[in-house]
Amino acid sequence: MPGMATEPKLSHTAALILQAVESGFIYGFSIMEATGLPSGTVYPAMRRLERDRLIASRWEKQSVADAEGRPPRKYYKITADGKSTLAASRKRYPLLARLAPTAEVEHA
Amino acid sequence: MSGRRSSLFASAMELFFETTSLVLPRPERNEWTREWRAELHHIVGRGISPKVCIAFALGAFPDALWIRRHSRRSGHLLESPRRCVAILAVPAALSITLTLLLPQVRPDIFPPKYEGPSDLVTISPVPSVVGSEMEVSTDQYLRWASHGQPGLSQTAFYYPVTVEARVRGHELSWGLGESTADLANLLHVPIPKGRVEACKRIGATPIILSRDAWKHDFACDPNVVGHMVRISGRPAVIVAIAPLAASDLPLQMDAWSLESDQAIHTLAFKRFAYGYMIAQLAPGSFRGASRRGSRIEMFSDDGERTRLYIVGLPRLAEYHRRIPTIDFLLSLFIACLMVPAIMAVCLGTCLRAEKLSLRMRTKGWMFLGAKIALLLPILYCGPLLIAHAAVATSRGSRHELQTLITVCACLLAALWIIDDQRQRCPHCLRVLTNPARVGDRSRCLLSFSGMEYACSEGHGLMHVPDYPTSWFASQRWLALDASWRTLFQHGT
Repeated sequence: MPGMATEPKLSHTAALILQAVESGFIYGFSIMEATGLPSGTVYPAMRRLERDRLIASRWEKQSVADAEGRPPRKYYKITADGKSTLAASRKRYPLLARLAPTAEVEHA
Repeated sequence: MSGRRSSLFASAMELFFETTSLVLPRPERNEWTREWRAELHHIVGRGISPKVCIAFALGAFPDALWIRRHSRRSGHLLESPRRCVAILAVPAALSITLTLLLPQVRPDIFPPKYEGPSDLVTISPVPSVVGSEMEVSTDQYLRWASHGQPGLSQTAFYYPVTVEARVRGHELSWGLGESTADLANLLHVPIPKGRVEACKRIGATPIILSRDAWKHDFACDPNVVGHMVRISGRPAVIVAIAPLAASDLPLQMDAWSLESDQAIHTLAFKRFAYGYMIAQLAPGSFRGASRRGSRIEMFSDDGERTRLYIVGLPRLAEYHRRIPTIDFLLSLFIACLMVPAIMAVCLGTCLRAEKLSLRMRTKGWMFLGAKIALLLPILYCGPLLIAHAAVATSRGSRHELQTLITVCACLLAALWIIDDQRQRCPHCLRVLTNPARVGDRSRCLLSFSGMEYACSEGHGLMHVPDYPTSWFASQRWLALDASWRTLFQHGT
């Protein structure tokens, strides 16, 4: 049907996580801290968002991690589709912007 | 955390992630484990408390389950026979370990050996060790007790009743033995002098508490002697805790009340006042009878002679030790009897497919045997643990619940074993996949209608009819030769 929205409808939790990723919380534990959600909710939700191509993941370069003496980390960033879905979700959940954590960018 | 504790903690977490990763399809395991390890490393590095770290790590399990559920590469959780055995081994090992380690549960599997006096016997009308068959009437007991019996130095009697006991504000159902006062002497129960008389002065019934009731209803309280309880509304005072040997008396009682002679005589007027007669053998008489059993003649004042049997407490103890195994075997037997009423007892073609080599057939039987062997400890220990967790106090209710769970669990396990074996490829024992509906339902039942399953390794197809007909009664295996394998190379 023309004019019908094609963006996937997100649950409030998924929208909150997407909002956190957009705000610059780019790895699992920081998203947990920002949203207050447990790991058993955050990680499966991130898998779902990644499957729907709303976020994309990439591994940190091994050389960077080696230089700091730690294992490389997996980072997430919002995609163009994710941004438009998030914009639609903000209309659906008007309080989302208020719940949105303050921006934090690490290793971006 | 100190360095050693920190490294132990990290190793435990690594092990947890490695074990949890087994839930995932193989190609996704490495990356998944790498991500969780890296996250945990950063969290531990920030000095966050172990409690938070554990809560974080536990989230790995729902994450792994989610990936498994949504992965195209994931199949049935118990798909391969090795994984099936490995997954069954975990609850089997866990249930055995918990049963052996938990002090409340262990005695149910390994009851302590009989360490009481070897000359204590029960006098029974039949040479049986089953409680309900060993009863004698109160009237008979009183007639025998009033006459000296050759070979016996003293006798006692108790009449079992179920009563409502109010213990520390809780209403409990107790098995009470209304016994003659001699029972305490016979069992060598140390009752301080004058305590029984003191009870009677205040109108309370003196009771001897069984070890089990002391453990479960009084949490092994060392100051329980002198404690007042209400039994069917009457006040009663605990005067002693029974020795371990008392738990091997017929019908396991929670307590024995020491009744007056008058009360026992009143019992004799009841029509069905049957109870248990306990005796101590006179030194030198009936040698070895307490273990093997023997016959005895009892005399009463009116000259009547009655032939009875001696059943020793050591023999009863042996029987009580076998009860959990007997109960389990009986539950298993009942469940096995119920299986044919629910489903056709046929293992399909898994173990008897044509052209199946002896090696393959042996492998199939071995897999079936391994499943049964791993399920048996789960079925034996699992219901016991559940019953202990659900009913902490009443031994009778716990036993009933345990039996009920065991029968249901045995039935479900038997159904699962048969169903699982049917759904496997007879060659590689992997669960058959790719179900497809084949054929149409025909009114004259002349065309095949049912489901077709394929072995992901390309060994063949299984056809399961929707309804059995004379020409297609049960599922059939269609073996495919090696030329078909190219179609199944990716297991799809």
